[in-house]
Amino acid sequence: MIEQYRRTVPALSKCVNGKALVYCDWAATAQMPQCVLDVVSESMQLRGTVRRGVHNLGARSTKQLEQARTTIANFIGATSSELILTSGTTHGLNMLVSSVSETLSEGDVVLLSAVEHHAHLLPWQRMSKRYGFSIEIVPLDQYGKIDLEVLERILLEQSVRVIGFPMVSNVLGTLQPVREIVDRVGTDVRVVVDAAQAVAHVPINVSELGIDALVFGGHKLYGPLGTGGLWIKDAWRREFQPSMVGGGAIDSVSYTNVVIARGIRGFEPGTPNVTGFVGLARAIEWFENIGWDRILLQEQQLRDHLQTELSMIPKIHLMTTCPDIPLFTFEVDGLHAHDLGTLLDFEGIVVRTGHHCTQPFHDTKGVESSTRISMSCLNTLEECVYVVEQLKRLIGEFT
Amino acid sequence: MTLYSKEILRRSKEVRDSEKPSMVTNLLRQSNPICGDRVEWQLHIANQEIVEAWVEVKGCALCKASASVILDNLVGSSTEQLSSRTERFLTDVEGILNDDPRMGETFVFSALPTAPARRECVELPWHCLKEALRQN
Repeated sequence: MIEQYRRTVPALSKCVNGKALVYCDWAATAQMPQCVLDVVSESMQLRGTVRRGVHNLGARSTKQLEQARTTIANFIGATSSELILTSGTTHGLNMLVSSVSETLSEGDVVLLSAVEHHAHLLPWQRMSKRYGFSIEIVPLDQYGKIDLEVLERILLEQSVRVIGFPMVSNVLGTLQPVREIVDRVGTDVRVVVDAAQAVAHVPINVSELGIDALVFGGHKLYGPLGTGGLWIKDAWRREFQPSMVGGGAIDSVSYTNVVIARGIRGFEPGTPNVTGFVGLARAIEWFENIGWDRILLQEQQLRDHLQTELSMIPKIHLMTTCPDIPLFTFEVDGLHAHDLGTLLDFEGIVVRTGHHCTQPFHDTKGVESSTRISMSCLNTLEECVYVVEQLKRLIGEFT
Repeated sequence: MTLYSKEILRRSKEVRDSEKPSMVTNLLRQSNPICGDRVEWQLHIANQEIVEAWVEVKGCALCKASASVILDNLVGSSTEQLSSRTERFLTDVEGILNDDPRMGETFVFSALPTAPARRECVELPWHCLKEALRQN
């Protein structure tokens, strides 16, 4: 069933190192379908800057951008007037944190999860030094979820203003109980969700989740690099100023002052990546055409198979045994992750190795470097069997 | 030609056996922020000569094997000889990766072009050593 969609992604029929590519690094970046490559190429052949000038090329680009914005916003259950287009998750998080931090001060607390990606942890770290608020870390329970008992204790003891966490962890593959967290923290605490990993694996509706901000990148959602979205609840966005200023995001400018444009336009200075967003919108249409039922079923089968098989390989230590998506991170006794990654690469299997931009989490677990297999709905059970077979062989041969 | 040759695998285990110097004049730790590989050199240098040397590598087989290559003939060499040896090694790695095979100390890494992203693993012990020597 999934084969017809695999065929639309050219990368999946390529070879690496003389072997058929078995791509298991979707959590890092997704391969793009042909329809995205086509629309990107077409868009680049005739372009104009958006919201500038009077010529038809500019009007055409503006229309393309706004149509793309609507598609992207609807995908996360938002309206186009709420979605700021960014160059990716890191950009979106930095924008948001820089702006929000101006409203925080000494005594305020920002809560982050123990498994935060550097893209979320580092902007808060930097701003906490500048504005004097503090950062507290909420631990995870044995299932890789935010420990709700500890969370409640911190909420009682400290002046928490913001809580941020990854909806799906890029290391553990665990889905956080977002709605439950929102209910526990109450309306006084703003909830920021890093959906970089979630967006291609879990249906998202920002209104139903009850959160205040959500950030994601387009390239993990089968779209082009350099695209992403930052959704902020209207009421919260009005409380702070954009962190970046420049052309196209203003109502008026004098030599000494500026009136920033109202709404999301004020958060998008400069010339936007129209081509990229047109590509992302096309990727979303392609993805939605597969259908969430089919996506979730396929990913569940892959996850269940890998969960069973990887748990039985001696010398493999999984960082969690119960991910919610087909994403497994592990150490192997006597075989460094980089060596395993290279050996798998020689067999055509592409995995991620290192600390996956979660160095503090790896440090607390005493893990220097790990190997991550991350699959998508486009992987097959046959690929899982091959990956497990090669893992067993290599671990047997090199340890 | 295989990257994980018997020689590489032997050397990656061998590097564990070195002993700490009785006196340390130069100490440096470096890490690769991408993969988490960490190298620490402890050197005892007297009169511009390496009297004792110790290295700890927390990392992959290539990084360990590379440190093991350095340990060959390290004690007894002058700092000047070591500096030029380091420069030659790093230049030769560049050569290997540009289809220009070398016969020197990089020979054991001749298959590196099959995994060019691992260059940093091979070079890390040398870069760390280079910085350690600058402490003189």
